[in-house]
Formats: sequence, structure tokens, C-alpha cells
Amino acid sequence: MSKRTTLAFAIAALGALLGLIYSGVSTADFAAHLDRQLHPVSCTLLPGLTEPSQLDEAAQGCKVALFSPYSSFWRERYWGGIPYSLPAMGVYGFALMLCIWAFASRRGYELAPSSALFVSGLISAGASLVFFYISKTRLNTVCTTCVGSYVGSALLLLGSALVLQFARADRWVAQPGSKTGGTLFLWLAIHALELGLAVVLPVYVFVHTQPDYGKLVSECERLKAPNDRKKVLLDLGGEAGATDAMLVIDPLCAACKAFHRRLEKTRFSNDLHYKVLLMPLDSECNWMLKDSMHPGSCLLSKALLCAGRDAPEMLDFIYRNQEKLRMLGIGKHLDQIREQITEKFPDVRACMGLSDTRIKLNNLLRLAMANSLPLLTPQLYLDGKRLCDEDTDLGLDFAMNRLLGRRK
Amino acid sequence: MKHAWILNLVLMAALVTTLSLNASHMVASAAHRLEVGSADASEAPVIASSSDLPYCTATFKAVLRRVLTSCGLIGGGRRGCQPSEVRNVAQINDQDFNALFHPLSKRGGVVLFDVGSEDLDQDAKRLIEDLWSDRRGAGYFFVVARASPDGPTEKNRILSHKRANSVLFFLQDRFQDPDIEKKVGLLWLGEEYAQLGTDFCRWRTSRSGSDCTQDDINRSTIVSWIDCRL
Repeated sequence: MSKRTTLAFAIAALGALLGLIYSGVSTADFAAHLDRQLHPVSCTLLPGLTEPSQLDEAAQGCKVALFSPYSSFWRERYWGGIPYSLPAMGVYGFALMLCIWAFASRRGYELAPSSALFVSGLISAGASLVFFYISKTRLNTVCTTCVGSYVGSALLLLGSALVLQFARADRWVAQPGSKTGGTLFLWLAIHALELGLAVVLPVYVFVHTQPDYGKLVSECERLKAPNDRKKVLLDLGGEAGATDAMLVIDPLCAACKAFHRRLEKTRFSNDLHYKVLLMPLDSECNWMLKDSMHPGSCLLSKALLCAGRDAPEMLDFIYRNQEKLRMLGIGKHLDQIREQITEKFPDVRACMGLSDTRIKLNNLLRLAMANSLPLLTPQLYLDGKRLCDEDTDLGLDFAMNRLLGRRK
Repeated sequence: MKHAWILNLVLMAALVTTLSLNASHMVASAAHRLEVGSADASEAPVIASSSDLPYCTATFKAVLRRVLTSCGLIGGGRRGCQPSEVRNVAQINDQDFNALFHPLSKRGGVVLFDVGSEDLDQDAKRLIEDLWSDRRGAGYFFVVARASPDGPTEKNRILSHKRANSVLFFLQDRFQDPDIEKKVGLLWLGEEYAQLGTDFCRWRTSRSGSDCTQDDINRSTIVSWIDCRL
């Protein structure tokens, strides 16, 4: 094996190693969440050297990627699904082993291993391109750990392409006129099998060692008084015959917005008839709080109650401007919040100040009281059955599938 | 060639085993944590509930419970309580009875009436509507009507009853709430029990600009939500 082929293998090995490390870190972060709790996420190019923190703003991109529907597949079958980084570890690991084999056996110039290495480079680089595109266009963020993987896959592709190029000359020198028929195909078949095993077997183990989440997701409580006798829930509409989905939200709560958006993106969304129980975490109207977590949300809740058919559009407007409205609330600029809303929805201006609206909002909170709801947002009740808080992120599709499936 | 085969086999076996064990370990760790629960899992979330403010002392609640039970809000039956009943039910003297209302000075209001009249003026209606709509986590809305000691006692007893009813009828008419009777507690004290002192003139009244003598403040109805959990 020539020096330049060896160097090309070294580049490929470095890429594979980087890819293996970063996809390993992503897989570990993902798997940590299988206990249905929140954990800090590693979001660095130097994993292990910095302490991950849940409050780290810099980790936001990795959190977004981790909790997005693009981080795993088969989410409805398995709680959280299978992280894409797990089969990626198989691909990178396979490439690294091929490089190690090439260094040790000095036979890396052969067509079968160099082709197999190139295929693994193509697969990893292709996948990286797809995920980078998704990251930029759908998630609007870039996850640092993923960038490590992208760099690894780029190096792997570069190294494997060079190996393919240089190995041709090496083969000519080492085995002039050598036959490539049966032996080549045997080796190619073996490498394909190895790659397949490296990808599939960890996934198989991952799936078959998981606990029974089916039982856990149906353990949360039911509504005690599901009847909305006073018709105070905000009806966001839904298909006839759809399952009643009572969503408990605060209009200024970022987690509520994220959860609602996530819910709308699931395939179950069309089977749901959304009814919103507004639970403003604002002591102006919510007597259960000593301090306001989201000042201004009582005012926005009143606006939503006054919006009638425009309520879905208004909620969307509030979500889109949530950060701005939240900051106005913190600054106690309630008049400016009112201004923003009434400028867009002038019809609600008079209604917001009515005592009937105040009573309606109070009745919403009293409905929460009658049902002994926890004082937190967001919450989702499907036909009166609560989606556990632990299942609102990674386990959402699995839990929805179970809860809706059991109902049917 | 043979060595290459063996080396390849060993390396790939090592890879597949390591990856599988790693996957198994990660899942098993999470499964273990899932089983034992997280350290803060015992922290139960706050549950939505009615108000129970500091003024709801044991004495206050005891009187409240006796009044609510005897005046029909708890356990159903006939509605309202008249002076002699309130005196017996509350089992406390006039001053102590009035003292129970002091913590409500910012929460409640005093609806003032003309001499010999039970009619609510516009300001009175506005005050009642405003107070009613500010329910928060309260369970009961108290309407405690009185009359000043002008004229016969029996007439004043009836007048205070009418004043209490005026508030109830206005609420029923204005809000059309089918549950209103379960929330409103009527007490009419006439001139016989717990006449108010002028310190109650400092409450929010329906005639904020006008004079407030002892007679004026007793031609009134105190209205307030009670933020106590019984």
C-alpha cells in the first residue's frame, strides 16, 4: 500500500472516528431521555471537556434537534423512536474498522475494501447533507454536535474517494493482471453483510432492551369533571367525530407554543378536536399564584375569549409574537399588549373589558379547579385522559398512538 | 489472505459487539432510572384549588360554616337568615361579628340605599357587578343587609330583607347564572344586630363622594366574596 493511499486511509479514519464520537454523543444524549426525564444535552465540539447544562443557551440548537421529529424514526412504535445517530454509529464504526484493517493487513488497496469504504463515505455524507438541509430549513438552527458529525462525514468521503483513486495504481503495482471475479464479489458481499450488521444489530438491541412504555403512558389521571357545562373552553375546531383534545395552555408560555406546534405536526392532529383551557400563569386573574410567571397573559386570555371564530388566528398571532408580548408583559406594558392585539383584532376591544369576560376567564380557572388540574402548562387530555408530562417531547407520537389507539 | 480474513472477522465482531453492548447499556441505564424514579419525582405539582386567604382563621371559618349551614348555602333547604337567627347561629356578639368583616375591606364593598328604599341606583349596580366579576378563587358571595334604626323594628327587618333580595335579583337578572343561588349567602340584620360603625365608611361604597354618617352606613348592604375553603 503506497504512502498516499495510507494517507488517504488516515484521512478517512479520522473522519470515521470523528463521526463515531459525535454520533455516539448524540445517541447517548438521546438514550438518556429514555427515562422520561429532562437531562442536559451535550452541545459542543469538545464532548467530555465541558459540563453540559440544562440552562445553557448555547445548547439550544442541539435541544431543538434532539426533540424535533427529525432526530429519530419509528416514533409511533417505540417510545422516542430510534435515533438516527445509532445506525450512523454503525456506518462510521464500519468505516473505522475497515481503515484499521487496511493499516494492519496492508491490503487496503484492494477493490472490495476501498469500494466499501467509499460507499460508507457516500452514505454518511449523503445523510449529513440531508440533515444539514433539514436543520437549516425546518429547524432554523444548527446543532454543534451534528456539525462534528458533518465534518467527520466530509473527511470520510474525501478520504475514501482518495483511497479509491490511489488504490487503483497500488493494485496495478501489487497484483498486475489479477483476477477480480468471484473473490471480489465474495468480499463485497462480506463487507455489505458487515455494514448491515453494524447498523442493524445495535438497533435490534436498542429496541429489544427497552422497558414497557405502553403501560407507563396510560398511567396518568383522568379529568374528574370533563363536562364543560358553561361552555367556557376555547374551541379551535376539528373534524366531526374527532377525539376531544383539551389543551391546557398559557398564551405566553413558550413550552405551550412549542408543544402545540409539535402536536399539530403529528399525523394525529387531524383526528383531534382542539378545545383550549386557558390557564394564564399571571396573578392578575389567577388567584392560585403569588407571583406572575407570565404577566399579561390574563389580558391575552380575555382577548382570546372575545375572539370567537378568530380565536385560532389570534392564538397563532400570539404565538408568532410571543417573545415580544412576553417582554412587554414583564415590563408591565399591558397597554402596549392591548394595543398590539386590538390593532390586529379590533373587534375584541370592547369585549376585553367586560365583566362577563372576566367571569368567563374565572370560570375557566374554576374548571381547572373542579378537575384538580396541576398548575402547570402545557397539558393535554385526550377524551379526558391525560397525556403524561413525560411524554410531551420525545414520547409524544408513541403516547398519542397508544392513547388514541386504545380509545378506538 | 487467510490472515486478512481472520483480522477482518475479529475487527468486525469487535465493532458489532461493542456497538450492541453500548446500545444495551444506554437503554438499561435509562430503564433503571425509569424504575427507581428521579430524585425530585416526589415533588408533587401544585393543584388548582379555591382560595384560602390568611383572614380565614379557625374562628372565622367556624362562624362562616354555622352561618352557611343555617342559612341554606351548605346542605340546601331554605335560603337566607334573618337577625335573630344570625345572632343565634353566629354565636358571637355584634362587635365580634362585624370584626369578622374587617379583612374584607379591600375585597368587598358597601351598597348604600336611600332612606326607606331598597332600590339599587346605577352606581350600586356598577359596584355589585364589579365585585361579582372579581370572584377569583372564592366560594361564597355574602350579601349582608341592614337598616338604620329609623322607624319600627319589624319594618326595618323587612326593609333589610328587601335590600338583600335587591342585590340577589340584580345578580340573577344581570348574569343569568343558574348556579347563582348556590353561591350567594343572604343575611338581613334589620336594625337589631351588628349595626355598623362609621369605620365601614372607609370601605369602597356605591356613593363614594357623599357624606357617610352612622345612619347612612347602616342603610346598606355589604357585598363581598369570601376567599375561604371550608
